[in-house]
Amino acid sequence: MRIVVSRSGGFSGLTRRWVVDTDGPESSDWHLLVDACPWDEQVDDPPQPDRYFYIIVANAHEARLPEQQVEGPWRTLVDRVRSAGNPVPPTRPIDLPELDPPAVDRPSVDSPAADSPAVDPSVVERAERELPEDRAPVHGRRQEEARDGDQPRG
Amino acid sequence: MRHYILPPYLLQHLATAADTRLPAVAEAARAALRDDEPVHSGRAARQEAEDSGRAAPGMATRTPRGPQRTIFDAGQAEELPGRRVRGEGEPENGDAAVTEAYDGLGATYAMFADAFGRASIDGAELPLDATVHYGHRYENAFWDGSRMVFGDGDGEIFHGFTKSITVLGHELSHGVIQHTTNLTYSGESGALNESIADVFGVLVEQHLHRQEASSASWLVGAELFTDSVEGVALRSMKAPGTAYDDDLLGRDPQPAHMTSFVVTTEDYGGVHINSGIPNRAFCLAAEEIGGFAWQGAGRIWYDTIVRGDLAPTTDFVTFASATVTAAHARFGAASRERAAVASAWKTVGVQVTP
Ligand SMILES: [Zn+2]
Repeated sequence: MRIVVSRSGGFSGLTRRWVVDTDGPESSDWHLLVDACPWDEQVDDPPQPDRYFYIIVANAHEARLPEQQVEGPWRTLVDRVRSAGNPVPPTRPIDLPELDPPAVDRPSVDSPAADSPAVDPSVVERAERELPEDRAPVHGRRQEEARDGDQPRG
Repeated sequence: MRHYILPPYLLQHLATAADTRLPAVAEAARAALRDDEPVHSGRAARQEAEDSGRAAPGMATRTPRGPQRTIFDAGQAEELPGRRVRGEGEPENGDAAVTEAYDGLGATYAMFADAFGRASIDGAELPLDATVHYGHRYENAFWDGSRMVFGDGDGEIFHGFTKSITVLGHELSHGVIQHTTNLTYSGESGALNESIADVFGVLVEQHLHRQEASSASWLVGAELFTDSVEGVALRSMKAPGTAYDDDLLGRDPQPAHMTSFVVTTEDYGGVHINSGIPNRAFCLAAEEIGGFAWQGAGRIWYDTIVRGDLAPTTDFVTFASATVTAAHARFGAASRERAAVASAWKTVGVQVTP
């Protein structure tokens, strides 16, 4: 499983991205972290100016979250990916297909959020494709660092 | 009770102004003082709001009295508001971030009061609350809907966010936008929200240092990067896309023209990216008009957001057209201010509807 975290926006508008591949002995830990997140819950919080905007992609899931929603299991997952994952320097901004319903800008009454179908797998592929090839994650090294470093807090 | 969008002292000044470039303004100001004719197309809306017993968006209801600032310290936690450490008129407490926030809020209040006669964020003396030392190595500042919040930076790439007066002015301006044209924070309207906050942010700095458009840096967040970063600021309004080019941070992604408009899911649809386009339009207009930018282009942008006739989802073209209308209303159809604004939008590729 590949997990991608994009943190964009903020006052600086600087995008940071981290990627981790989890095909190692710690794989089950990562699955627990990912499964603990409420992927199907829709976020209707209005954006707060200059707060970060998170896109988290894992295992055919995708979430788009304002910073103030990145709490609990989301925060655990994001912090873990940030410390264990490969930082990917920003190239061009990622453009993903619109979610149904979109994360912002449209009244939620029109679209029954809870019944939305699972995220199109192409979302993950596109997120991966946008990442520069020369920065593709190095599995072995990353996993060693992950073992030495933080354990999941969750 | 009669409400003015301009404070009486400014009306008096305009009414007696000898500047023949501004006969319409002087006449409108005289009319307002006579209290018998509209000074501004917003008056009808204001009267209506008055009748219904509440303030119209953006209206300045009185002569600004002075800021009511309170600074809080989050102690590097992510909980708001934090501990109250300094109130209005109280002495410095020895913490540079607190002093910077307190002074920056004062400078921002002063710019809106002096330039536009606006009494604080809501035009009605809303107290200004700020929290410093938010989060651990938090490289950001934001407006949460009621207060400004500032992180200390990581110390490696970013200094503390209170170091920059343009950042303080920017955050408070988000409050002004929220209380006037509450532009939806995504896509083009979000980029306009960001751009207008940058515009007033740099005007706070220019006003503080009495800089004319021609001598201003037009940089946003010039004090934030440490020496280890290849860059002069976070954004350049004069030359979007050139503020930094760094191994770690990458290159400033801001477009300077509509042909480079960035379509992205990140950053609420690139609100901090595509703001480069309207930012540059403002800078071009201000430089063309000359003098103090808050008196020309700044005044026009301010008039545009307080008119109360822009939808929250306003796009670039609609906003651009509204600024030309505002320039016409304030400076006249044949004014060079109006011409400068129209020309600026054309230069950045935004077609203004006639
Ligand atoms: Zn902003």
